[in-house]
Amino acid sequence: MALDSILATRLAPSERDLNPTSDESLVQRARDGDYAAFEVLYERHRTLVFRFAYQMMPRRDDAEDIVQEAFVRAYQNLGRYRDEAKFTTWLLRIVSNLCTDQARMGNRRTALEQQEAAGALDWMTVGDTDDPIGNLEQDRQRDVLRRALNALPVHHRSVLILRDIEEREYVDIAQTLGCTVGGAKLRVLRARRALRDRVAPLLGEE
Amino acid sequence: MTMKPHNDDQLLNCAFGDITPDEAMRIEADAARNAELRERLDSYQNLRAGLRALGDKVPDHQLSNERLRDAILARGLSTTARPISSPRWWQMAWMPIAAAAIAAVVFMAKPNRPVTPSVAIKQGDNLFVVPTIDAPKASEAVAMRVSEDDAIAARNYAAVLGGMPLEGSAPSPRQREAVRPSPTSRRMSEGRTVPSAPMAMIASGGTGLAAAAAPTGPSAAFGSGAPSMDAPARDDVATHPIVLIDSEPDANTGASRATEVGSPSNVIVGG
Repeated sequence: MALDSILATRLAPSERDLNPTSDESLVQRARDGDYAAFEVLYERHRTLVFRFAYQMMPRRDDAEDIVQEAFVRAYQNLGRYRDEAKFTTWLLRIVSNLCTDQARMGNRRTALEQQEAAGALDWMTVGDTDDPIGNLEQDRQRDVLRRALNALPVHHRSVLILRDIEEREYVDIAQTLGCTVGGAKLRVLRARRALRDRVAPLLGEE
Repeated sequence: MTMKPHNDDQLLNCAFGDITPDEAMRIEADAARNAELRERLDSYQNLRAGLRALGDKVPDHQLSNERLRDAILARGLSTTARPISSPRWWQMAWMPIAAAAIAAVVFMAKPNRPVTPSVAIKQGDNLFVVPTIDAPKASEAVAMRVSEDDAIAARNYAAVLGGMPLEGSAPSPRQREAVRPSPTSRRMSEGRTVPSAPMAMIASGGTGLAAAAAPTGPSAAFGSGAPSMDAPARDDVATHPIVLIDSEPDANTGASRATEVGSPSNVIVGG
């Protein structure tokens, strides 16, 4: 199932109701000086962009800052947006570049208080099943996977998030990365291999 | 039926759904008969499920329109009605077009007069001048410093012209080039009925000074006390103002001192 349809079911009704027109026409209106049209685009796609940004740097504050910066840059460079690509693809490309820059600058913090707080909250909440031990094992595996994902180089992480977490189509991934579809498939395969190599010893430690 | 071995990439693609249904069915069938293959395939399918589960753990964001608007305004951008124009080719091309237009105007407005430099030199007690017919003003004088070798080559050139014995060694190619009519002088003489004149060489002591060619001027004059090699040159000098450029700078202005003299009696003329 495409991410857009998944998101459509996850979005709040108020956010879904904000889609009276297509992205392209909203972009055109925003180019013509209609800031309200850009706000509609922002409300429509900020969750998608935030999800990607959060996976790239799992600290909510950082992810929100990235999203905000991405939309500011999108607004600033709206004249450069070419209609051949989807607006979301263009946005994801901006976010991906921002996350890459952030990772290169070494500003990403690894120990995340917020994530730990969320993990502590998970302890107190009811899991998916009635089996508490099963929930603990799920949490452990998820934690292992999260750590392995965060330990990957940013180019591996971004393609895994796009394809295997956000379930983007290869065509979109190729446009986001600025490569061919075949190149995108190859990058995803390499990233999966890298993740597999990292996860295996982490799961085998205990 | 023998089971085909599967590598990890095939299993990864199968687990993540990146192969065709036929291939997936074949791998699943093989995995059903091979416990080790089944285990590997299961581990990759768990990996995929785990990644998908990470997508469910994204917290709600606290992004708002006001926050974005503040960020945009803080960046100096406007949120009021203002068209955001995309860069068009004519918006980027105005600068080279304007530069080309200015260059064309300057080129067409330039007066079409020939440049005929003349030189007058005072080197110690010796005075040298290369007059030209078309350039009586001192501002049009051009001079450049040359070496002693070039001066000797110039003397030899003049000697060849006048049938006099050569001085020193044979001139090098560079020296020959120095006494050869310059392309500029050739260009200047084009369209006229007069022949192209060679570059005039003037020398004194260890260092000489060379003058640019005069299109219709005399051929050459060299050295202290050397006779003028071409009579018409003296005639030209006599009928035109002579400007002497001193090699020493003027104390007040710092520029080379220029003196206009009316009589060529103390001036050795070359060209």
